[in-house]
Amino acid sequence: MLTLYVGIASGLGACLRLLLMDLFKLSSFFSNLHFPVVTFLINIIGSALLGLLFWYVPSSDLNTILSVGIIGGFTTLSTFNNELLLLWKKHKIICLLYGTSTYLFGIIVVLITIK
Amino acid sequence: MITIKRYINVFLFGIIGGGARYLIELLVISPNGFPYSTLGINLVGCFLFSILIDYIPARFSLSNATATGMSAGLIGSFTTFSTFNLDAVKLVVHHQITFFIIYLFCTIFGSLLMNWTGQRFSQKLRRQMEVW
Repeated sequence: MLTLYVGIASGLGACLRLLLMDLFKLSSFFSNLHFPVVTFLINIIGSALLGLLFWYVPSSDLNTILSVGIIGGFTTLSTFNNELLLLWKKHKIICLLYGTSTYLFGIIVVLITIK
Repeated sequence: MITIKRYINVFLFGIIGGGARYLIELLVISPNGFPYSTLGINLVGCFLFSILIDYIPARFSLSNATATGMSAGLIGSFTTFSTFNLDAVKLVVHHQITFFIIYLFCTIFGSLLMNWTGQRFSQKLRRQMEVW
């Protein structure tokens, strides 16, 4: 049963991700930037929230639903890698910057939230 | 672009993707603390993602909503960046620095390689489709 709840929570997380991506596409400022700001923010904010949940909320079914479900479905590695490969063809510097900053900030925010 | 149908598709496919990820993490028990399940999920997911955004929609003439559901929903919620980070930091906290380096290296370059391999594989499948 918990698997179903985690699944539903993941679906909601994925919808939230799509909503943010759609909203950012509406802004001409962000869509003209080659740096995928929205995926970057999604992954960093998601990592920070997961760190907080892991550290401050005692492990329970609700915690699993929130962390594995909502946050797990919200953040994504496949889109991130796909964007890296697309950027590499046209904007190599931005590609390197995007890749390094996502991994670096991802680890840093988790370190900050759990210490 | 913002249609309810896309969101319903992403939600329903997201349930499958997230549920599958949770089941795999439950079933795969690591003998030494190395997060095999997250690594495996991310590598497989990245390979499938490239095929799901290119070959599958073309081959089965999927609607935009279903295609988004499969890529952003199914694989987007199957793969995860947040758990990867938490796993990585846990390895540091537990002083498993060798594992940390291997995990980081395998995720960063492995997942990129899997996305790229998926793209090449998808292009190959598309060429075969055109021959038919």
